Order: sequence, then structure tokens, then C-alpha cells
Amino acid sequence: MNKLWMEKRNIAVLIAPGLLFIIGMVLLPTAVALYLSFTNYDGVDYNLFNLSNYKEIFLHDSIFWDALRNSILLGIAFVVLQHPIAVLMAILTTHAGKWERPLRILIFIPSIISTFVTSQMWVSLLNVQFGLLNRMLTAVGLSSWKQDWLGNPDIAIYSIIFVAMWQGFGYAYLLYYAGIKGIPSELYEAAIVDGANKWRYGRSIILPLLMPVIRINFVLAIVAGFKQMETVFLMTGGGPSNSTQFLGTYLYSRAFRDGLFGYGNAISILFIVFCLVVTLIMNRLLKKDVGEF
Amino acid sequence: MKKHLNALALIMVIVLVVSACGNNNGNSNSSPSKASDPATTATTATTATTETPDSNKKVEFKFFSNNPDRTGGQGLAEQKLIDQYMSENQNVKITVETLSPDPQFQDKLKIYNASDNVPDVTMMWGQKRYLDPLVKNNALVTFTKEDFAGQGFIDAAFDSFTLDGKIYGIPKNTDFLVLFVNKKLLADNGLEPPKTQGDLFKITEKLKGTDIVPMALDGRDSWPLALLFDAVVARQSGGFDLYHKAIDRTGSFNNPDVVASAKTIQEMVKSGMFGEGFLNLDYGGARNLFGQGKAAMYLMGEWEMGISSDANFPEDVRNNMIVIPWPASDDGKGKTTDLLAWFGGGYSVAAKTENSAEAKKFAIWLFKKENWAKTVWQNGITFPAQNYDEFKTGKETQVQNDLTNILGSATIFSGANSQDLFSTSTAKSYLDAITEMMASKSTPENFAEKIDAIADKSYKEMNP
Repeated sequence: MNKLWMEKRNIAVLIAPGLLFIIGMVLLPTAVALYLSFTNYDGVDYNLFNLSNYKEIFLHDSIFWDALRNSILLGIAFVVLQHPIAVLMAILTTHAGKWERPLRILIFIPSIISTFVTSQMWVSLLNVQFGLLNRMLTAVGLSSWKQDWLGNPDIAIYSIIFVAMWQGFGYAYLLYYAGIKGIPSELYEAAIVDGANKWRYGRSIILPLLMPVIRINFVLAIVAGFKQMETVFLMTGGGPSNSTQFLGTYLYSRAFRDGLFGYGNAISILFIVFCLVVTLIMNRLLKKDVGEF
Repeated sequence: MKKHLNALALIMVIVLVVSACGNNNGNSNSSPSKASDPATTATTATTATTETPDSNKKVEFKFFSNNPDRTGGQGLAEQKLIDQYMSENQNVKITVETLSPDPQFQDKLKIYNASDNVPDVTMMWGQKRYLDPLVKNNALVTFTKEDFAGQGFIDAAFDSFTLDGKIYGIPKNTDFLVLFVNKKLLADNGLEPPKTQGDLFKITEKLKGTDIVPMALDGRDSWPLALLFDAVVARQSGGFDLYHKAIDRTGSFNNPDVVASAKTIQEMVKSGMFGEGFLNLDYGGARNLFGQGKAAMYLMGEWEMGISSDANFPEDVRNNMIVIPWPASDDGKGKTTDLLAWFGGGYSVAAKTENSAEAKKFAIWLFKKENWAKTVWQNGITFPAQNYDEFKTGKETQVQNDLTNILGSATIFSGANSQDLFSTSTAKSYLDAITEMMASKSTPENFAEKIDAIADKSYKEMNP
């Protein structure tokens, strides 16, 4: 049987559908994008083949770098704010007894509502004149704290980051929660017998055993920061004055709004390169084996 | 065993491949490109001959519109006429696809063009930057002025749809920038409709502390900001030559009048004229603000003339709406009779589709004066680019009459507005620069230099 599975022909046949799919849907389009990134393709034809798109991006395009900075900022916010809270919540809910189930549902609900709906909801909540947030601030006598949450170029990016974190919280939480649930209860019993309290158990047993999940989650979070598109597009469209531009929205705006498909392709190629590099670095940094259990 | 496994693997692969193909077929059948799929069209044609033997070939084509609301405004006019055409021509079936707001519509049209899939009849904007990519791709049918002889078109209306002497679209509206005013809201606060830009500041000052926004402005889409900029520059410099010359490079944006205009606009923002958060207020949001009586004025084009008959808004607001031109400058140099007016929207017909000829026939029919011009005027929807005098009923709304007067008394017309004159790839930078200036992210001087550089780049792109 083993010999059978090892036979190359069988392996080739079995992976062929997946491979074809990846080649056709991922690798081939990427190759086309790479080719077009050297052209001034405008959706109809092109007459140049050189490095001018990349030159423009690296030397003159400050919006691109702002977009990259925003993407990284979001990734960092995920890692430093969203995930520690998610881990903490996951650990806490496992100790919540009869509240465990309702809490779990409550925390996960935002993730199953469509991004479109939650984004529009936040746009209404953050509206300057009629938004709930500003009205609540006025009601409690803090009207000086009122802000133009999405219309002020200096603040809008933080509003976006907050909403994106809120939207992604459920999934981050769920992965950690499942990770914790996967830790056998014998370990808990053994730790209690050895005299550990709950805090010690959490710090010395759960966290280390959760490391593989955390690692995956971190990589996913950073990549999600890079890939952020729909929330921004729905909430501010990259504005005001490009202050909330992310790589995804900027790519869209250059390719489809300005009709510069060649330039858009160049951005997308850099996009892929950044994602690969970041994933590689993250994997190196977080590489650490965990004992089996 | 091995044999079995081999067979199993083979079956799995075949199943996967076949189901993938099946999906593809399903997709192409249900996709909107139905009409251009020769196989599908062929089948429809055969069924047509069996079902309606007396009529000619059954034709089906797509109408791509930027008006999702088919029960009011221009969407209603389009739908009424489409329905009428279908009932007059039983063999024709017109399906409607809509998408809004305009920038998204334009994005999708670019994709349709890039994939050679332009809908048979589509909403189109005049000016080179919209038309050029489609014309370059030979995607559009050409018209002649004779096609519309006797339909009362204003002669200049076709100019913006004309490229190298050929007409690629039919203009549908005479567009101009105006100020919708809720005169009761102003009167309640002891104010009158503004006559000069100085009055605007006075109104803003007086309304401070109330929760009324002086002027609703759609800042998120940024194109209305550019119209505001055009209007203020026109008042400052006493005409529309400044931006026309700056864009065709016989003049420059790096000009004291531009700097002064930018300063005025920044002061307007700082005074709170547009309310807080206008930079993230979208089209519908600004319209609602005014329609619900939360804003005293509303800066928009004449195409919103239906707002005074929009049943979604309180009667109290609708009955008190008037329309005035953008106020004059304080020094009297820029007059209200200088009107920012252009022929913006229209329709084009795709050249590469199966039913292109039928679609063209429909488009020409659509613009018979008793169809488009009469429908839009008598339903209070918009200003046609055709003469509509014979369709006046005497029952026009206050807003309609005000608009007629503004257009009738204008002595100088701007022609195209500034943003439409930029090349495709620079138009957004131009709009961004205006947004930045309004967000006080750049000084008036920097702003003038910046848009001058953009105008230079645009000129070089359009005249290689």
C-alpha cells in the first residue's frame, strides 16, 4: 500500500487538479501581471516596455509609500493590540463556566456579518453630525472630544484601524479558543496537582502550547493588514486626500480609476513581493518547536 | 488493489475537470454578456421565429445606466422610454444593468472595454478622457448630426462627444452648477438667499451654534469640490478663461487669482460653511442633509431638480426650495450671469456587439424630441440638451422655473468644467490636490503650483 502511494505517477495524477488550478488561477495571472508591470498598458494596448512604472513608484510616488505605511501600521495594530486581547479573551472565556457559550457566540457574531454591513454600520456610528459616538459624547458632557472620525485626514486612519480590528476579532479569537480547547485536560490536572494556580497554568502551559497557533495567527494578521481593502473602500474610499489609502485600495484606484493598468500591475507585483518577504521574516522570527502532547 | 486505486484516481480527475468545465458553461450562460455569446443568441433567434413569426429577428440588448433608482429621476425617464420602445417593438428586449456612484460606473466601463464587452447602450460622459480609451478600442458606434436632424439639439452639445470630427455619443443634459436653497430655513434665522460670496460667510456666521449646516457639499466624491473650485475661480478672475488657458497651457494655474480662490475656499471650510465631516459625506448623504431640512443650501448640478418633487422629503422642505446661481464676487468682478455649464452626460452605443445596429436605432429613437426631451422636462427630471420650449406645460415647479431663468439669463457659458479637461491618469491627482487643499493639507501657494504641474503633465499626455 505504502509503495503504491509513493509511486510518482499516482502522486502526479492526484495532485494534477490542484496544481492545474494553482497554475491557471494564481501563477499564470501573476506572470501576466509581471509582464504588464513593465508596460504602459491602459486596458486596450501598450507601446512601452521598460522599468518606468517601478521608477515612478520608488522615486516619486509618495502615496504608494503612505499606503504601505498604513498597511504595516494595521498589521502591527493587529499583532500588538488585537491578538493579545484575543488570546486573553480566549483564556478567560474557557474559565467563564456557564457564560462560556454565550460569550463565545457574542464575540464571534461580528465576524459572520458581511463586511459591507458592518462597515456601513460603523460609517453611521462615526458620522459627525448624526453618529451615535459623537452624540453619546455630547450626552455625557464630553462634546470637546467630538471628532470628525472619518473626514479628518489625521484621524481617519485610526478609525479605520479600529474598525478593521473589530471586524477581524472574532476569527482571531476563535483560532485561539480552539487552540486552547485542544490542550488535553490531563495537563491542567497535572499542573493543579503540582500546585500551580490558574495564572501560572495559563502562562507556563497554555501560552507555550499555543505558540504554533499564535505564530500562524501573526502571519495571517500581517498579511491581512497588507490585504485590507473592502473595509477601507466602503468607509472612506482611501480618502480624505489619500490619508487612508492601503495597498489594495491604491492599486484599485490607479488601475481602474486612472486607467493605468500597467502601473497597477507594478504595484501588485511589489505587493506580492512584500507579502512574501514579510511571511518569510515572520516564519524565521517565530520559528520555535513546541513539545508534543 | 493498485488497479482499483489507479482507476479511482483517474475518475476523480475526470470528475473534477468535467465539473470545472460545467461550472464554466454555467457561468458564461448566466453572465450578463449573454447577448454577445453567439451560441446563445442563435438559440434565442430560432425560438423567436417560432414564437413570433410575423416580427423580424428577436433582438436582445443591454442598457448600462448609472441610475439604479428606476422609479424617480433620470432612471425613471430611461425606464419609461425603454418600456415604451419594447412595447412598440415586440421583438426587442432591453435588459438594464445599473451601477452607482459614477466613479464605480466608470471603473466598470473600463473593465468592459478592456474585455471587449461594452454593453450595447451605455451611459457615457463627454470629453476626451472618458471617450479616448473606448474610441481607441473601436468600441463605439459613430453618429452623424443628420441622425438627429429636427430634434432641437443645441448645436454645441455634440462638441464634447466629438473626437477627430466623429460623434461618439448623444448628449442628454445641459448641466450647470447651481445652489439649491431652503428659503424658509434661512428666513427662520432672519436671513436671505445669498447674493455675493460675502453673504455666504454672513449666513455661516449666523447659523453657527444651530445644528443647521449652511451648505451641504458632497466632499467624498471630490468631483463636486472641483466644481466649487471652478465657480470660485470664475468669480475671482471674472470668467472661465483662467482654467481653460491653464489646461491648454496658454496660461497657468500658478496665478494670483488661483491662490486667492484657494484662500477663499479654505476660509469657507474653516468658517464651517460645509459643516463638519463634509470630506466623508457622500452624494446621498449631502442630498439627504438638504432634503431633510438639516442644511440651508446644497451645492449641486441642475440634474437634482427632481429633489423638490422627491416624496421621501418633508413637504415643508420641498415647498420652500428655490434655486440661485453661485453668488457673485464681493467686488462685482465675477457676475452671476457667468454660468459654469457643460454638456456632461449622454449615451453611446457599442460597435462590437451582435445587435449594434438595433441598439443604434434605439438610441436615435430615444432622442427624438417627443421622447427624451419631453419626458425629462414634463416629469421635472432634468434639462435636456435639446430645445424643450414646446413641451412647457405651465405647471413647472418653482425649482424648474428658477433653473430656466438662470440658464436663460446667463451671458457667459464656461464650456467644459476643469476636471473633465484633464487626462484620465491625471484627473484623480487634480481632484486629490483640491481635496488636500480643502483639508488644509497644503497652502494655497503650494496648491497652485501643484495643480499647474498636473495640468502640464496632462497636456503632455494628451498631446504626445
